[in-house]
Amino acid sequence: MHQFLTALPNTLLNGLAQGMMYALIALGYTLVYGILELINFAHGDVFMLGGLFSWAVLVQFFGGPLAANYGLLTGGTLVLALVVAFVVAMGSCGAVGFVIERFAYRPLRNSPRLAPLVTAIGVSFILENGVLVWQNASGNVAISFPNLIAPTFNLFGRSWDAKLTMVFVSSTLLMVGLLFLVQRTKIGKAMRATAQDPEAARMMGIDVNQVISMTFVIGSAMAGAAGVIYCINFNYVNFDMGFLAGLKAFTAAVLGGIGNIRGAMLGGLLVGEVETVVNSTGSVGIQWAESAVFLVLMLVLIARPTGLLGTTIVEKA
Amino acid sequence: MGKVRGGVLAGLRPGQRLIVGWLIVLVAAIFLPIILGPTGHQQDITDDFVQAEVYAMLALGLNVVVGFAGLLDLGYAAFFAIGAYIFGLLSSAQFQPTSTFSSPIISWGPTGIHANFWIFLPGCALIAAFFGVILGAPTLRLRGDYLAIVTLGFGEIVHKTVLNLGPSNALGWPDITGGDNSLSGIFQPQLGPLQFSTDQVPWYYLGLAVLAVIIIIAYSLQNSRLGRAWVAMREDELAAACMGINLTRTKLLAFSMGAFFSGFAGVIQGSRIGAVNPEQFIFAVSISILVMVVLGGIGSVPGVVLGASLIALIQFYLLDQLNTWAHGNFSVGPLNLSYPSLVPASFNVSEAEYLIFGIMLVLMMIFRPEGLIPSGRRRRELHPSEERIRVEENQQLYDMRSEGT
Repeated sequence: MHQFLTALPNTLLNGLAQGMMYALIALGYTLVYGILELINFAHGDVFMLGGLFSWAVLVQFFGGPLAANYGLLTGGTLVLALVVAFVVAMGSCGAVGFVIERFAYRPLRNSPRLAPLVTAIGVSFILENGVLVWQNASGNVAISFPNLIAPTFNLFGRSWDAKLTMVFVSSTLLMVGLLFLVQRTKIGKAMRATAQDPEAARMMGIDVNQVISMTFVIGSAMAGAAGVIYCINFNYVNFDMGFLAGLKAFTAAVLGGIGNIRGAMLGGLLVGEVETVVNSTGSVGIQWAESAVFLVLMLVLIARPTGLLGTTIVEKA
Repeated sequence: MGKVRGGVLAGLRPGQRLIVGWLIVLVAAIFLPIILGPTGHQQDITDDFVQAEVYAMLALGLNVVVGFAGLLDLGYAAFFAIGAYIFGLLSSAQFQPTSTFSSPIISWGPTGIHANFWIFLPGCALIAAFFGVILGAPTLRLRGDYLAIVTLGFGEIVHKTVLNLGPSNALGWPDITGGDNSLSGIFQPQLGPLQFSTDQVPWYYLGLAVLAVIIIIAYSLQNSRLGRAWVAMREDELAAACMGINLTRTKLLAFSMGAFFSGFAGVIQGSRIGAVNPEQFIFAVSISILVMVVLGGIGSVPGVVLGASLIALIQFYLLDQLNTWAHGNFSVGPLNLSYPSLVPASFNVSEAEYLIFGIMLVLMMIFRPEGLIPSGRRRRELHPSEERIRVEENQQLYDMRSEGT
């Protein structure tokens, strides 16, 4: 118990980092749900693709120093590698999101609600198992992600945890950027309008299809970035890493009130903290951490069926 | 539908046609093991057919929840697991009580617990149904998508619980479920002189009998007062409640009926294989069952049975065939072709099983969302243009416009 308490500040910090990652993924779920009322089940797998794409590019372009001993990068090379990893992951995941929406979800826009959800599950299976097949066929069964960052760095006369700093800085930048995009730009305004009332938005001259495409691109790009952060943190990429991460991020989105951007962030942090704190309680905690996350979800939903920050949804007549 | 069945059945009313159709299937199914003949190969094929029967039971159960009542359950394999594990615990040497007790229903002693299969087959199904109510109760207030995610969470919790209560678990408890070592040595039933064991033919007929009962129950449910309440609730909860339907009761009955069916599947599967493993109940299994329902036709009893059979066919036959074909040997009947392997030698096509399921889900939803054998109601829903009423609506709209100009 004493050990648990002395480690608690550190645990909470780690939980915060984990939570920010979940929050980034949860934002994609919530953006799409806010507009289409669709659970984009494939979102977790887009997150996985983000890690995979950035791995491919890093190994390709920084192969020399990396391939030697998957060594650490420093200074300008590190910054360049990080920027390239993020840009590639966000760009390619955005493209994947665009394609998924265009070919899997758009044809079903007016079908009964179950249809696009089932399609989404199908797309998730395609991405996940497509990568599995590729991994097995190409012999990349266990991919270790380059260990880019030295564990600590010195600044202002003390040493800092480099990975945690990277998670905090990049996640904060991304989330602030997203809030700015949604609240202050024209496309953000169009997104909010479409979420409120697609018909009325159309009448105001908003190209709803384009807005929906943009929403998928933005959400998927966030997931791609989360994928890079996750992989740098844990040094591996695997076809199945999107499933649980996606599930927990979705839990986070629901917890916060799905469709609500701040709710997704809050829910992400909460899920990250619950998981990390339960994990830190020893072997029992490690085995039951996932169950604890889902238990919290169930309890919150029983008390507040629309999540913590969600508004009551009036049944449509 | 009449056109599809054609010829012999053409003169019959739809209800009679349905019964005759099922009877033909039943007779074919009864003679199947006899036709297959008593070769060694037959056991393998019969094994696949029993598996298909178990799938059909599961798919029919999920169909009650998703198809009839419109409640998307993404953790359905949990009930399958509950049925299998409870029977496994009550009918194996997992627990070895020091006291002895003997009765026709259940007996125990140092050699383990022996539950009577024939009583605990429906018994464990009832227990699974009870768990259906337990899961259903907290989700009553949730709307569709929230419900989906909570059921998914429930499925994951059940899976994790089974894993975490194995040998040398972190809680320091005794081994309960066997964990990922699986729970093995489940006793197999006896019927008069017939001992069920590795011979698959008795299992096949047992599965067929249970499946027949489940199909009859499914039809009766569909056409009952409860079935109509489910449809009303699926279409519009608010309107249904206003018409005096007790939503709590209706929803809980849907969950428990669905779980009830999967309990049968769990007991039969567990006892037949003699072991249960947590890997049999992962999320992908819940989704496979959903694929069966969607493929066959959501809400359609014959469709769902067909969907389950097709998935079994793909899993146990087509994937192997595809594998040999992809590795450069194509042989169908007298045709024998040999060519360079299309895939790396180490690659097994069956690894792509869930990739294929995913593609099937997407294509089905885009091109034939009503499934292979659609239920009448859903076909009308998805293709309203075929309905005369829509034509009349359009007609009216046109008239009003032309009057305006």
